[in-house]
Amino acid sequence: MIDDCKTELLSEYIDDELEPVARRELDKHIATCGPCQSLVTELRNVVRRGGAFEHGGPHQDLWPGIAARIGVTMPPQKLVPKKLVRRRVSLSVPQLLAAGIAMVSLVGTAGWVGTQLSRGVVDPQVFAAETPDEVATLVSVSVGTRYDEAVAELMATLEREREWLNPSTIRVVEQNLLIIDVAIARARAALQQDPESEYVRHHLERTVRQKLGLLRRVTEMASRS
Amino acid sequence: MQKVTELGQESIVSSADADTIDATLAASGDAQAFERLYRGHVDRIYGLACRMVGRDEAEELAQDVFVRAWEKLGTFRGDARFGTWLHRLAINVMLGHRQAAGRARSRFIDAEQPMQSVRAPSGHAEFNVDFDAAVEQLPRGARQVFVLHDVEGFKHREVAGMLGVTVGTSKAQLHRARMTLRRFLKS
Repeated sequence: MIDDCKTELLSEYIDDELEPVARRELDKHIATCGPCQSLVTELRNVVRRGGAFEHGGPHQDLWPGIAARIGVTMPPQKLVPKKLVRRRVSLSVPQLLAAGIAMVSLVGTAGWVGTQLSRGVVDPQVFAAETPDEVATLVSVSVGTRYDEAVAELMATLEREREWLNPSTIRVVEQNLLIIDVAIARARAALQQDPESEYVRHHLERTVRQKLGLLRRVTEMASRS
Repeated sequence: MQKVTELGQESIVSSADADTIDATLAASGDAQAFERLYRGHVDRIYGLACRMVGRDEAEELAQDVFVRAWEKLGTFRGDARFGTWLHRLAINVMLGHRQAAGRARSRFIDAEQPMQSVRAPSGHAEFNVDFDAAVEQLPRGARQVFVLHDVEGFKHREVAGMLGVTVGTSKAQLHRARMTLRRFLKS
């Protein structure tokens, strides 16, 4: 009987927002009412469809307009937009390993910095301050040995064993090492801006540990093969 | 000797962490960090704008959101994800835009507008676009409740607070929107 169908309650029903008594009554009705069963199914489809919306982007780049409105006078530079991070890694393995070793051996020294800057990967101000000692102190936390020594050793091992690594594995390692290095650089820059930020400090330490973890994992894989 | 199996493709550095770092930099005036945030979030903000106010105004409003975000970055302290913070701010901007445009009066009065006018899908390949269009054709009040509740995941209590209506009105508008859209999906 259509008059018994409380269709206006069906949205609350599928959202599980009805009081227990009302829900039980509706349960009984729906169990015997084909139209209401169909309607419940259709409404659930709508909810599912709404939750699966994709986010298409604007037809044009809005950044120039935004930059003008916020008073950015310098020309926009091509920096590491997140979507492009993976595609940017077109370097050879030796280049990346060398870059990593250079960065690690004296975090922030000219070798790695120069290569990164020349590729436009890292904002120059990232490396404007902070002494290597300060960074070494920061990043040597909880890694069992000093960060630079540990990473240099692992990078050397990786270089020796790399012939046993699948090319796709090397590619993933390259990409992640670069992502991590950029993250470390950004964290260091943020720490300059806000030296008291526990969050940023913790993030920096964690990112360094991630780099060590990645290197350990991949060198273990190589040595087991 | 067998080659090593592939390493997993999982991301090593989370985007949320990177966002928080960039937000810290941007708050100190680093426009490049802010550009990275823009590029990481513009699609979602634009999509939200399309559904909240329609495509005609979406680009302008998305710009407004990022300009407001730049101005308000100092209030972001990393307690929540940057994306969540930006999303909230975007909704406020979009709702404020509606009120400033003097359209508030028609928002929930337009419940009387015919909701059956939503067109049926023209073909499977265009399904996604059509459903988007169907949502845009909903009366503004029903559309915004649907977007906030079913697309963005807010509770009725939150939706009601944002829109300045009662929880009952929010529920009623949502049901009307769903009933209209289910006819679209059924077609």
